[in-house]
Amino acid sequence: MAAQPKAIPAEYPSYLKGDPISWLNTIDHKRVGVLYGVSALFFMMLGGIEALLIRIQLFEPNNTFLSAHVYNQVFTMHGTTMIFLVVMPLLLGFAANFLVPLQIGARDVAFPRLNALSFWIFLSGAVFLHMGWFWHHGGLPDAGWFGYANLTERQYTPGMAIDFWDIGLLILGVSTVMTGLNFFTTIVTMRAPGMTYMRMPMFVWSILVTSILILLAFPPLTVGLIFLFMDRFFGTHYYQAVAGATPILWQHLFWLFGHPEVYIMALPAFGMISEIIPTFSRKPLFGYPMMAYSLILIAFLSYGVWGHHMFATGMGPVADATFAITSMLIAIPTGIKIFSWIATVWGGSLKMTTAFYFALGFIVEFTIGGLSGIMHAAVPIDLQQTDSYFVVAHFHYVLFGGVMFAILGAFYYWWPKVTGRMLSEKLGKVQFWLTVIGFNGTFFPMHFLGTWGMPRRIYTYGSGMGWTFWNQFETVSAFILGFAFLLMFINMLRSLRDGEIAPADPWDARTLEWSIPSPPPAFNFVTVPSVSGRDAFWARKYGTGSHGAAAVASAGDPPNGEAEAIHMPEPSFFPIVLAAGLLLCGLGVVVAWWRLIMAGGVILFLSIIGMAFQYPTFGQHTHETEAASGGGGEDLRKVGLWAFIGSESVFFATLIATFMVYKSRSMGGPGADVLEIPLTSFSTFILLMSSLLMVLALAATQRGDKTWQRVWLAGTVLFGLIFLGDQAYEFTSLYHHGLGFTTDLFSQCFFTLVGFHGFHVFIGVVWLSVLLVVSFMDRLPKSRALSVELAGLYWHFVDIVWVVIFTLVYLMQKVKGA
Amino acid sequence: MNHEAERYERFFLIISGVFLVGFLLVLAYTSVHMRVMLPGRVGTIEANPGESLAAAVFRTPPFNHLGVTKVGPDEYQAVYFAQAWAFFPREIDLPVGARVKFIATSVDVTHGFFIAGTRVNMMLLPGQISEETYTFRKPGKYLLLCHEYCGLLHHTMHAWVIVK
Repeated sequence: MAAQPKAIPAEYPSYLKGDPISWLNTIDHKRVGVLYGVSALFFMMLGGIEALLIRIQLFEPNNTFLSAHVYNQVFTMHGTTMIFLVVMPLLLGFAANFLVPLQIGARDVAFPRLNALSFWIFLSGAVFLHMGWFWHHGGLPDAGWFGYANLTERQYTPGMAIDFWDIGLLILGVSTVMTGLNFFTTIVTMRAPGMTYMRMPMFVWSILVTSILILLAFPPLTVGLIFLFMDRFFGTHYYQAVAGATPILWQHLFWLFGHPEVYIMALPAFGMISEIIPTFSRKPLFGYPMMAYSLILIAFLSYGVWGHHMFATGMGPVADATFAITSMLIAIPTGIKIFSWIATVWGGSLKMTTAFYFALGFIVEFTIGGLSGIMHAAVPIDLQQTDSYFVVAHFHYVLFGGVMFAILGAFYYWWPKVTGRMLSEKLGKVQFWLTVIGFNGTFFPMHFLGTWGMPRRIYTYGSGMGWTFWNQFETVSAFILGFAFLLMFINMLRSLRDGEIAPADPWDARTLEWSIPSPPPAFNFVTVPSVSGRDAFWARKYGTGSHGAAAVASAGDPPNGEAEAIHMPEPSFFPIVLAAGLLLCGLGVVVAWWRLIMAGGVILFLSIIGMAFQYPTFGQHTHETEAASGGGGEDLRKVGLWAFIGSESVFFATLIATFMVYKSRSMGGPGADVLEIPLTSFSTFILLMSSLLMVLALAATQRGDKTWQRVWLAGTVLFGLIFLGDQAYEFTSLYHHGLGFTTDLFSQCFFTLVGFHGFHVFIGVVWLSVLLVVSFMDRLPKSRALSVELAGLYWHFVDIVWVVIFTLVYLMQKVKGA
Repeated sequence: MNHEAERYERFFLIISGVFLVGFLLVLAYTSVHMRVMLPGRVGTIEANPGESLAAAVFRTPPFNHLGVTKVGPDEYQAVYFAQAWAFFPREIDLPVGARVKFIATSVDVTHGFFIAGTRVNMMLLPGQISEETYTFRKPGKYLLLCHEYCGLLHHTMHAWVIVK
């Protein structure tokens, strides 16, 4: 083994050390990662058992092992669990959380408390999805993982199960968007000195692109779920044909999220494979720039392919042809990646470890899934496969053969770094071969069954269909697959009990996480490493070509004793309390018990306040800004806010698009005729002027002029309040003119869109009021101008959205009506 | 090594080119010779305020006249509606060689309309009329399945097309 970096003295304890309570208030990214990992493993067992139940039920024709009612719940929860509670938390919550800061040479993520909050909210969302179990009339959700409208309407699926599903997914969405925002900001601002974008490890690249995907893809799902919520609770008709609406809106919104979601799961897997293969081929990654660009290209194209899920709905030849072409195009960057991995392996001196086995298995199985994906892009072929078992085969090859193989490879690769113990390679290879046999045996025959007409999501089938043999074959294989996972759990437990102690760099690897002890200390790096090329740790060990090894090697050596000066953020109990409040609140909504909503709301509110004032140095981010020195020089709060605004833009764009589509289909109500242009023109003027006052407030802050800072801030708040007052008046008068929330399609879209904007204005007013209070406390000096700037950015964004709404919703409707 | 790489590159380029041309030929063959057509949205069901969707469907032509109608020599029209968890009509008879235009809609939730062994596969959305044409060249008992999960007894939702 090559030269180890100088060992860090033993007095720095591993991040795992600490009493059990310290896991509840931890904000250490590695611990949050482990929390995610443990929960996801639990849900993996649950989802796996559900999968086996499905296979037992389909073992023979006319089987009654489960009732149809239970079977429908099981397959719905199998899909929902595996995607939202297993794959995403394992990739983003666990792997990205644990590895990204280590790989970019940072001490934590950009917003550590937000990170802990993401986890606890994730957990409460996951619990929420399963709440139906505890009610007599509840039961688990049973509308399929993509919950096609209008089956999910209360009229067709009464009971609480879909409510739990809807709100549970909303909660999970909040958690995921916060995670995406956090990683985006972390990677943009906190890279070690010298680590340019083109020097980042490929896994970091994949997480960067995935974060952008999350920020821009989740809002359509959120909007779709909010519409469903309104339909179920407030009696709107977003997905009901009777009101002129169409259930196909759900399909568009869902797949506009759903297809990028496929890549949210696939890209981190690509990143993991791009780390494992070079390490065990002992060669740098082939075609690094192309690997990075193809990630971006895949992300870009993934927004234009959602229609290939909907060829059977009759979108028309033009839309079908467009989506067919984009779906074929997306195979090109994916092909680049596959060839680059093969080229990396080619000519390398291979070390055949379990992790490498899984990486090679990934290439083969994922390619099979990719090829059946291209088949779906061809519309005539797709029309025979839609909703058949062939589709089930396809996406399991992508998600299991692709993503799960990558996760298993990564599991064997990074386990020593996480736990400080080695896994048994022998057991690992047995697991690999059983997985390959079980996986292909389970899913390959589904191609045949699908081609012969077997639909997905059927409770049972007749004995005359000729489907029996392969179904039995699949069930047996599924149990082999289950056994392979059992071996993994045994391997884990054995390793934790008496596994071999792992060295810092057991694989002779290439990236920075291997330069620190296994398991790492809480602060990761004694000194933040400086980077002068790709594969930073490899270069430190062996030098990079012409450069001497010695010159680079000294750069990262820690001067002893400096760890005392490392300032890590304090732990916080607020994230777990806040998530509990959210859980109570949601529960109260579903069971319609307002006391519970109130209790949850109070907890939620108090913990937000507590969180805001937890750090006495309001607005100062000492540790974070120090650590951020390596990135692009942008302040991380600003980057975070921009990421948030990007996500919000998609949210409003989706609401506006829905309004534009639905307004003309509306029937019955008074429509746009009752809108009052003079009043809203005045509101618009006020809001635009408030933006001007905001600029003045910022300028005054930057000058250090306290008096005018207060005046302009107060002015902005006042104008915001006038706008809100106008809106309240407008809504009341519209109501008196017969335009209620549920009157018709126009009114429900109008009130939803304008109402959500009003809510954003309200949040802005609260934010500015807090700043005003802080200003009167004399704690908003020149040096904290950024706090004002951030509030200003948000405020301007809300104003710009209003200008768009005013034009599209008010002016254009009036012009058309005239 | 460089030379070798170039040779492989050329090899893969040629292979990809062959595949591309092959795909396009298959596409042309299916659309021109086999006359594969896409399911299309041919109309909507407009429910009056207060009216149920089912009522609106049954007063909208052609759903006021369900089942098979002969519209020309070897030309037929088959009008269906789907309701959880059955198709109506439950069984139709057609002669071999019949060119049938299937017109269907749903009166409640989203259903599928898939005739196993053929390329007829449409989604039936409430409020939307879907249409697809197919020629039955071989006699047999064709299974018409609901292909879109539609609730508790989804797996029992089927009908028959008998071609004699």
